[in-house]
Amino acid sequence: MVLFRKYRLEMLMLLPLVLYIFFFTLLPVLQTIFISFVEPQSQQFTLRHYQTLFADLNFDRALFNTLFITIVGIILQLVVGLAIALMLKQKFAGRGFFRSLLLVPMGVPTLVSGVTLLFIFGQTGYFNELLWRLGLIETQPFWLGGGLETLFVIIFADMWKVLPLTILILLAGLESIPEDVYEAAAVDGAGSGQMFWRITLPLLKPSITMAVILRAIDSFRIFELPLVMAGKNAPVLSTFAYEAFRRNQFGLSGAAATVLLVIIFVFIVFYLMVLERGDRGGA
Amino acid sequence: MHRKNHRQRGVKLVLFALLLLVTFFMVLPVYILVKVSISEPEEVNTDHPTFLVHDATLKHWKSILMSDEKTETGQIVYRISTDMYRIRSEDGELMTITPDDPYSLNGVFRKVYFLDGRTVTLSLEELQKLREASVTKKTFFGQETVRNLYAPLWKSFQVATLTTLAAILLAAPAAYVISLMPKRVKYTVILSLLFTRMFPDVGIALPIATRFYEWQLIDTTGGLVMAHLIPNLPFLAWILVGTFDVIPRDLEKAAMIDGANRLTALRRVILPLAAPGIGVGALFVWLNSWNEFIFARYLSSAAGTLPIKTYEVITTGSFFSAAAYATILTIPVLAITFYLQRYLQSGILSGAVK
Repeated sequence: MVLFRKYRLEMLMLLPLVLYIFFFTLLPVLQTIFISFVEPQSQQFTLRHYQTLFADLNFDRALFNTLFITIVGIILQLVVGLAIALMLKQKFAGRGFFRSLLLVPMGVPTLVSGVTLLFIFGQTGYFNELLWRLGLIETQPFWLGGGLETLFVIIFADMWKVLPLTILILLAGLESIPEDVYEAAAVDGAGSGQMFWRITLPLLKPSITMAVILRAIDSFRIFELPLVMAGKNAPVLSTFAYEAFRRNQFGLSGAAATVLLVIIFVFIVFYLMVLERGDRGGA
Repeated sequence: MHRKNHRQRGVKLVLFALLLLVTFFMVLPVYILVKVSISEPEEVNTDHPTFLVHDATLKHWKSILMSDEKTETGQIVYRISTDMYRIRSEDGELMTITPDDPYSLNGVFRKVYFLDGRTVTLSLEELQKLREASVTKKTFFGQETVRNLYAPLWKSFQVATLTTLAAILLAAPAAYVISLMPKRVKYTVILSLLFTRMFPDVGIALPIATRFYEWQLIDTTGGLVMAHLIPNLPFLAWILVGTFDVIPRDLEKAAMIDGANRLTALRRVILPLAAPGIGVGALFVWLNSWNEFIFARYLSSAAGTLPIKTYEVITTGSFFSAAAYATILTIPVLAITFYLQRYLQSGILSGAVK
């Protein structure tokens, strides 16, 4: 009570935000979990929604697609992003110009990047046209019919959109590595390959962790790109949950959302724990 | 030494070429988007589309920009405030109106224009009575255009702007308090704020949507603003804690010693210093709300935002209009992103922009 009187103004300033997050984020999440475990009418506990969920072939595909897009996508994004960040770290004329242009995808809404890549990867799109002109194909293959090639198109689209973010995070990490570490290594006769594996990568670890976690959260929740580019051909967990909601199967939708939540949570905890342990072992 | 220099230059040239190639691919889709939106259908809708623009045309743009030319702009649409209302036309005909019959009134011709096409002429008295029984819902475009560009555009603009204002009002005071907390508590609070962004939107949107159906907030600007605050509040609070952190505490104390009370000190001293930071955060929130798709999709049935409209055009309409819509959606995003470039360079912030 004394605390309250002393910090009355502070409490008043903090309260709206706290209440909003409680009522509009925490409570809904708990409700979703609750909905997934009860019968819609009687509110009795049931596992029926989960049984339906795991018996649904579309859900299996959605689960596989989500994991595939995230894992393969993040690995590709890190490799390509790191390569570009290393290039941008070099000092040369026009560096600022490249940096600006590389930000372009960030200024394109995710939905729009889906539309655009639809023009490129559609049946008579520009990608097929390029292959045709290069003499690589006779008839245009359809890339968006589902299957692995569709997932790779989605991974590519996602990568295009988020590469600027990955590059910026890794570049910030690279630039925080002091030059004299490299100079000392050069004096000791380290080659550039050694420098990369022994200095750059270990010192970049915090940036990589951040990039992986930020990207993983967004990539597990991917929604617009699969929806726009492949629709029902390539379901992911988010679109599956949405379709169930549209059919008024709230329990099923809640169950899918809960599975997604658990996956994200487990991934983050697992990643941080493995990394923590690695750090301790190294020290 | 000389040879080494030579080799280095060679490596740099290769790097430069590679970078040029990567940059080219990063910009290419934007070119294609604009290209499709100004191409003759024969150039795109064929087995072998052309890469360059041969015959530029503005007809897709015209068809979406001018689609409202038949309706009067700036007209005010009324609805009846009671469940039922009876009017007598000048010819003596009786007519019942329900709230489902929106209409516009024309005082000069004493006419009621129903949006479904009927018109009725009233006596001056009847017209005055009708005016009193009406509630206005100001719209700037007629019913036909609701399906077209301007209504979603206007709605997106409204939602984004109101979300931004509401987010600042809610997050700025809280961020100020959080920035005053001891370091340890502060980091815990910030982490738990960011932690809320881990929840999948589809999980949050499901109960929100069912609740909003009960509260009749579906398709309303207010409902969407409330939903858009969900992802944006933690994010804005986090940016603003950083802003308030760098403002020296002594300034506030000095103002209070000079006799200002706490609130005056906040308003006169702290707020102006925090304004640039708040401005940057506001722009980010505006962008996020303008782009937002998932909540908008859960909470719209008829009147969508521009992203929803764009999606509808893709699934039902022509690719050319879709390209034009998508381009319109992109223009403010691209502009603001480049304006905010230097804040994005730090990398962390950019994680919050979709």
